[in-house]
Amino acid sequence: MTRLVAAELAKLRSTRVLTVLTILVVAMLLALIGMQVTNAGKVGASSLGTADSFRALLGVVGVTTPIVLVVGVLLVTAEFRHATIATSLLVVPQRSRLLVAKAVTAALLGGAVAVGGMVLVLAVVVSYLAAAGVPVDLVSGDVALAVGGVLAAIPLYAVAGVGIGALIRHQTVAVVVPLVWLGVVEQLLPSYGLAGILRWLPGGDERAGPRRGGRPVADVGRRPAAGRLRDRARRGRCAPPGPGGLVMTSSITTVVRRWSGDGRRAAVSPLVALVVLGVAAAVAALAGATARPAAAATSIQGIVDRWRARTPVHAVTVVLSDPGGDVRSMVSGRAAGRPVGVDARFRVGSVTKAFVAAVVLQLIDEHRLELDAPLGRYVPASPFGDVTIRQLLSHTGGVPDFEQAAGYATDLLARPSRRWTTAQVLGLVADRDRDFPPGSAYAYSNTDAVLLGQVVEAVTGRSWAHAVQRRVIDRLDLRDTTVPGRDAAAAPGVVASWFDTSGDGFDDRVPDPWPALETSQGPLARSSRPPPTWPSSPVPCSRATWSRGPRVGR
Amino acid sequence: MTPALAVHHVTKRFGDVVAVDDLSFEVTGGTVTGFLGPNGAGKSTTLRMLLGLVRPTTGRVLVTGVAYRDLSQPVRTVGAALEATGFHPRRRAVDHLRIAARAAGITPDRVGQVLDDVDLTAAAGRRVGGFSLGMRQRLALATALLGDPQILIADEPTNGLDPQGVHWVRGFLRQLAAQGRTVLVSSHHIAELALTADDVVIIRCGRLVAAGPVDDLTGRGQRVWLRTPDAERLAAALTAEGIAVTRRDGDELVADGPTEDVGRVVARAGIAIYEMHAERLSLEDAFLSMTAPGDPS
Repeated sequence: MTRLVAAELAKLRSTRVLTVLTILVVAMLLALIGMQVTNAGKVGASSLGTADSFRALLGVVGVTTPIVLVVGVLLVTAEFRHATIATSLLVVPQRSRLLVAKAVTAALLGGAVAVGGMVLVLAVVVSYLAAAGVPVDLVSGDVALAVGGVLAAIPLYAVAGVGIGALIRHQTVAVVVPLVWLGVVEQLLPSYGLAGILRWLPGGDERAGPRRGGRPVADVGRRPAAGRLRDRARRGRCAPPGPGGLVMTSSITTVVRRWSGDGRRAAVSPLVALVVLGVAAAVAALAGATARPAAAATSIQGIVDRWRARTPVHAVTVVLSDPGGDVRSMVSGRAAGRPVGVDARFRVGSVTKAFVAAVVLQLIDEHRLELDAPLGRYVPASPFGDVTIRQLLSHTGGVPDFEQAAGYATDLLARPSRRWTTAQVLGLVADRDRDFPPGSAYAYSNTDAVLLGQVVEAVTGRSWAHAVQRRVIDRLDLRDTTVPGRDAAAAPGVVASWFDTSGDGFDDRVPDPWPALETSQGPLARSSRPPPTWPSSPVPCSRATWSRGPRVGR
Repeated sequence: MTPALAVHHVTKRFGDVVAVDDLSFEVTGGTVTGFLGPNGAGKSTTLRMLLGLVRPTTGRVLVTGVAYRDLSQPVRTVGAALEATGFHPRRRAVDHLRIAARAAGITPDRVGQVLDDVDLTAAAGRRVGGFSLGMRQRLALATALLGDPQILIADEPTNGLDPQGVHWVRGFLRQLAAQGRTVLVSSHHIAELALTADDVVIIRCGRLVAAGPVDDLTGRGQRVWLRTPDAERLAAALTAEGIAVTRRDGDELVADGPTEDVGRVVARAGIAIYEMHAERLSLEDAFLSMTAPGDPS
């Protein structure tokens, strides 16, 4: 078989096919890479250097599928067109062996195009980005899946071409039929309300994707594992032929062959051709299960990317969890000069309050705290000793918010590196009037959280951070979540967060001075369990995500 | 001994058309066999069945006793230059041969040898698209010889060639036969094969008409042509011995009988003879006489 494949390769080498193939592939890839590079970072496209952008560029290699399909067709039909099939069959009397040799040759060629194309993409992108001084992050995310998709899809198209060529021996027809099918028929199907069957057709996945975007979560949720893989591969934009598609194509070509049947010619057994197609379809089905693109993640990714491009937010991470347990994650933007990945660690700000509240409620369960006891019982020196624990948890104690205190914001701007202690923070509001008598109204106050931190420290004898670590983070095994030290904002590997000093909802370039939990979406995205449910908190946190952490200093 | 090529009761139908009809013949080793028949007689179909390119509807075709596709080394057993042999026009002659050699597991140096054998060495690097018909025929023969086979099948190798090309092919086939190879060569041009073949197989409309040594078909020594100044007396003497005589103009006559008998009659009659030779039927005459309706032979 090796020498048959070598002979098939020699056949290609001795004509123009390989030259034309190479020129076409390189020209097409360079043109599309150029387009991708030009469009990168604009609306709907990821910035260069991100894993997303690299995936999209790798996906460009997928445009070569029609070319390798045609080369696969030519491998067979050229023999009939130039009547060289007799010579070939005299050397290899078994038609199946000849056809298998051609299929293997086509697969090898497709593999070469896939690898060569990706090397080309890599070379152009890396050299371009290096010249532009943009750091490149090519390994994070799902690049490996995109690579696998490209490596699987292109050889499959080539093998399918051999099958089609064996069924339709007329070269022109055999080349035109699949191209018209991919380029015209499947494009028109949606106009006739037949978009639903597209996913079962050879080229249908990519086009079917966006149209199914209306119900992404339910659609993907039914098959969680495959869905997740699909989401990732989707961004590779490689669409291997759908399983049903090949079968359908082969049926059509069989009919065509019947019409044009000519027994006088040395026939490549249609049965063998069908078997080759069948095997290709089976492999395609397997590959399709992993590489079929899903629309949802991409459209959400697009929304996230577009939103980030419109705002001064430099990096964002999103995790979607649907009731079926399917978790999808996406990131956008850059931090510390690098594109953020799904494992990037963000400071979660006021979400930390919920962790502290959980510790407080645990202590109440353990009868070490009383929900309706006044703060003064645990922190006798506090100027807010009359406010109860329940009121602190529900922002109904009337304690003034230190963030609103005169001088706080201006001081932050003037001395961005200042680290505040608990005493300093409380000093800002200790002498101010209560917003209202305890229990009579509601007002969100960051000071409440600082006071709860003092309570935890008073009862446990250790820092609030220690209690959160041991009682919440360790127990839930949140390995990618940490309580930072004093200089949290400068911790390596954590996406820097900035403070909104002007109160306009946008971050000013002042480093967040407060400790807050640092976490990535990793534990959520990777967990097969539903994300941990927080203790139900009376704290309405609609603004909380924009404000800072629990304001507990030392 | 297993015949080199054997066709056993083979019938091939294409739809309603019966191309080959219960055909049987064998080709023994070491001979040149002419495969004769008018255009459309089923010659090419039969050859293609022998080579496994067309499947017989019924019957068996064997090469050295087995079906072509079951030969362990097909290209080394039998070489074929088919009329329909095609070449990729963009491919260089040497590449065409290298590809076939590689697929068959034949060493590349054999390519140079066969190119030499068919006088194509000078054109080896040219693309086949620019080849003349004669050059293509020679390239086809070179391809057939790649495996140095003992059996060669050539379908109409002289078709469309100029006289020089025809002469070359004829000499080439004779040379192969002289090396002890078995050659089966088809043609619709009967006279041409008479000069080349030891045996002939004649078919018409897919059916066997005759098969056997050329000499048997042409009836060696059954007719004698004579020139004598005494034609009248000689005719009478021959007729008296029961040998039929046909008078031709002047001093020529033709006697229907073996040379030996005619010679004895001449000697006894003491008649001067200027010229005398056995007149053979041409293969063409034989073919026509055999297929003529009502002819007893």
